[in-house]
Amino acid sequence: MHFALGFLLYRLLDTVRAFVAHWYFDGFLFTLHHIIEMITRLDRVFAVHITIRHLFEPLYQDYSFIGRVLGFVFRSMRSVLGIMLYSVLIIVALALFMVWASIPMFLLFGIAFVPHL
Amino acid sequence: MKTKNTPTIDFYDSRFLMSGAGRIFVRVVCNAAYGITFAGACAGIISDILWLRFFGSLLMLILVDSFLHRGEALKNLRHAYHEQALNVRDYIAPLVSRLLEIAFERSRINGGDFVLHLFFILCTRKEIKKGFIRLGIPYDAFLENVKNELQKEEGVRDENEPLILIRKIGVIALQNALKHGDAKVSEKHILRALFEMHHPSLVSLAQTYHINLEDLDNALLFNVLEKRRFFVREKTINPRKVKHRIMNRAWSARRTPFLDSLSEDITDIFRLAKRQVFIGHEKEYEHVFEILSRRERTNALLIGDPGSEMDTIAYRLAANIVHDRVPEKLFDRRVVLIRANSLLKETRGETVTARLAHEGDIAERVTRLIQEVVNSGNIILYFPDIHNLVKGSSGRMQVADLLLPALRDANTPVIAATYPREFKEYIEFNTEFSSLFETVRVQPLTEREAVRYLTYESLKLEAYYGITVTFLAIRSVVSLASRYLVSESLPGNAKKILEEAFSLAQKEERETLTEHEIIRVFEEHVHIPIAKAESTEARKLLEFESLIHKRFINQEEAVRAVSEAVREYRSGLARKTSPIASFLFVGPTGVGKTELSKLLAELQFGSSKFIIRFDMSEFQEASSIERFIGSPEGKIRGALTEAVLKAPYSLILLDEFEKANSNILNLFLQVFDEGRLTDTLGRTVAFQNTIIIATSNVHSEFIKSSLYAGEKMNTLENELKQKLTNVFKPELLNRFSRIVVFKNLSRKHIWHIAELRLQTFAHELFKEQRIKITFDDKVIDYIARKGYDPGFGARPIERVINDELRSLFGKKILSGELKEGKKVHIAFEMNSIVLKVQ
Repeated sequence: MHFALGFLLYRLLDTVRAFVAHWYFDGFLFTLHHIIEMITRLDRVFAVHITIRHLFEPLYQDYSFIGRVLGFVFRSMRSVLGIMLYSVLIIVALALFMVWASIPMFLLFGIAFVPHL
Repeated sequence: MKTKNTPTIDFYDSRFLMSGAGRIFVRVVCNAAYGITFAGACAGIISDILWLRFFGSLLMLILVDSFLHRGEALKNLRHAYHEQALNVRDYIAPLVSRLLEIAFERSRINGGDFVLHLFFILCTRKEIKKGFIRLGIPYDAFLENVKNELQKEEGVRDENEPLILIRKIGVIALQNALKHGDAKVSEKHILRALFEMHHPSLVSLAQTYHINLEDLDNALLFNVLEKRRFFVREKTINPRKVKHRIMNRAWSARRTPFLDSLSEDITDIFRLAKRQVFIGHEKEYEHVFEILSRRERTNALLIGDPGSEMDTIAYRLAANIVHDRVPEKLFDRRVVLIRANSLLKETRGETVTARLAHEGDIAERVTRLIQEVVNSGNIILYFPDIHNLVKGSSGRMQVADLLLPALRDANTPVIAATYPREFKEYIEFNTEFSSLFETVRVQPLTEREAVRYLTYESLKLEAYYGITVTFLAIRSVVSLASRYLVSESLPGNAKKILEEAFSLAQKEERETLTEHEIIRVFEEHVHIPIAKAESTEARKLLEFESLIHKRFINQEEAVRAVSEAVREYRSGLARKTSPIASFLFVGPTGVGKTELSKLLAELQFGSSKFIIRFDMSEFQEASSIERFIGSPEGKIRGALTEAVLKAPYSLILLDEFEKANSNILNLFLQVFDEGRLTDTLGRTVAFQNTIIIATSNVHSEFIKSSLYAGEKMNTLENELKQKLTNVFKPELLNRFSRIVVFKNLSRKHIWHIAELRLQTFAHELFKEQRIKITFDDKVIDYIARKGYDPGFGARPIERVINDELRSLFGKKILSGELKEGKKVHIAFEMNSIVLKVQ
């Protein structure tokens, strides 16, 4: 019988261990993966890094003065907009992860410190 | 940094150490615990007590987590690279663990072999069952056999035996999972482990059903892919959903409306496809990639045989561009595919004015297109059939010249593809054009790659036709295509046959496509029997000599030699890399050398039409080798190579072989040895499906006198071989499968030949005119006497029948004396042939 009881105890502890691993470790990887994926997708539109590298190049190979000015103006706007969006996205995602991570702790805190009536 | 270590593997699971009652107790408690916890969590959540609410919520979270990860192992094997010791229990899927437990209990309660119990349970699993069906195994009979094996092994065993076996199986399975980079130990790893244990019953089953572990892995992988079906989604992208992205991300390119109207943007398609599978041509891709990434001379010309899927190289490039896996030079470019017909699309007028107008149109179109491409600055052009573009232009206007600005511009990389013959014929001579490209020879896929390629393709075909294909069918389509469809390369030739076989199976309302359907489709294509001889056919093959002798008199030795060669080939014992057989027929004129060749072609290839005949006396000059295998610049096509490329399953008859130029004779050293020849266009011509017969009448007098002196055939053959070295090189003589000596025909043989020819004549007349004829022996005597010539053997018999009988019958039919349904007796009276109409 001691094998059966040992096994049940092991299963119980393992369920708790798996829950913690899934919630925090997998949850963090999930968030990170999605942030990277969303930024990659957004970067297909805003292409911040590429835009900054070509900041002083004329727009659509229009080598006239106007073309050069327009190129700088539009690219600057695009870069700023892109950086702002990426920042917002990262902040929101991190905030969401913090909320997610705090849920079990909050529940544990509640169990431990809320007065037992 | 990840470091590879070799962890120690063990399998310790206390469940297998418990008593039966203990295991039942654990199972009941585990199952009940979920229900009780769920009820408790719900009660806690709705409770008025705050801390209980928190507790209930936490329990609910844990339950939901357990439910969502219910099929997973406790730990992920892919994350175990740093572990020093692994316990199989932590990495085994719960379901597999349960299967082990069931087998363990069955072997404890019913007795019998644990391995067979486990194997039987695995065989009944849906995935494994499908895998066996994919291997072409008759599943019901197989399962019945497993049951029988299980019954044979029944009986009480050592109690500890299953425990030892579980540990052993678990360890091997985990090693398999690690080797394949899998996340957990699943059913397929356990199945493989069972086979790897070399259990006598499983070894015998594997031998009976030809189960090989690599095939089994592939068949099971097939199921995994089928489940995912990602490739189906990838290839069935709705063209309406493809968004055309005109501008690059740096906003430095220019719009290309005219180019867009005439081309397909491959990068657009790959932007939508989430996963891509590219099989083969890795080396060629690397070479093209290197060419396109250079500063100058950035054009690649792919030269490969039809069917070698050269497009894959351009597609792979487009996919890598979409995922930014390219250097700066190629970054964010568009790979644009232009087909020749989209540029040369208008029909040509008959008049000179119309033609000139058309040429003007094309010139304008190409110039405008190239201008747009060069100005745009972010285009990689791909011409999949550049020869059509070059060949389609004519007269004063050459499209090749119009493309030069793009080819000279290092900022506009171009990939073009063509076939070896077309390259020689239309491109190579235009040095200005061809020198702007670096050529990349594209090799056909290997058989292994082609099997993988067709595995993916067949899943799409399965979804379309609603038919399951066995893995053996895929393997056989690849091996047969590479052997019999040599005019095209792998995988194109195999893909074509596979599609036809699917369509055939659908017509016949079959559920599974097996190698039998594949062989049938091949047989229709190549007109030769490919399937292993069935019992009735095997009987026929064993009586091959008598079949020949029904229509061929004498020359027993020669008939035996050719019969043996055909039997060897049909039983699969012949060498795969050389022709079916190669003979040197030596003997005087008119003794049946050509006749036997015709009969052999009829019996092996279905018709005497499948004879490629050369009079080698026409190839005596040194320069005649060009007529035989083609000229280096490709202007003269090789008579032999072209004929074999067109009809790769045929009998090649080389008359008066000794008269051919020595350079041509040397060519046959390679043909007899390797079964292939490379022509001047670089194409490999395969002779593996041909029978080569060279005839010669040198030393006829020697043969005649030796046989007359009563010498035995075996001794004569050896002596003749010695003598033939005066004419042929010994290494050439040694490469023939057999040197067959034809004897002179006696009067008696001539008489029988005359009788045979008269019977053939009677048969033909009845078939065409419905006139029945009979004849006297005296007629045969007369034909045999008149048709025999010591210099020409039995050759004049046909002429005598024509002169004496055919013309006589012709006159009678024309004059109306002979009509359909009449009977005619041919007699020989008063020294002449007489027709008696009855």
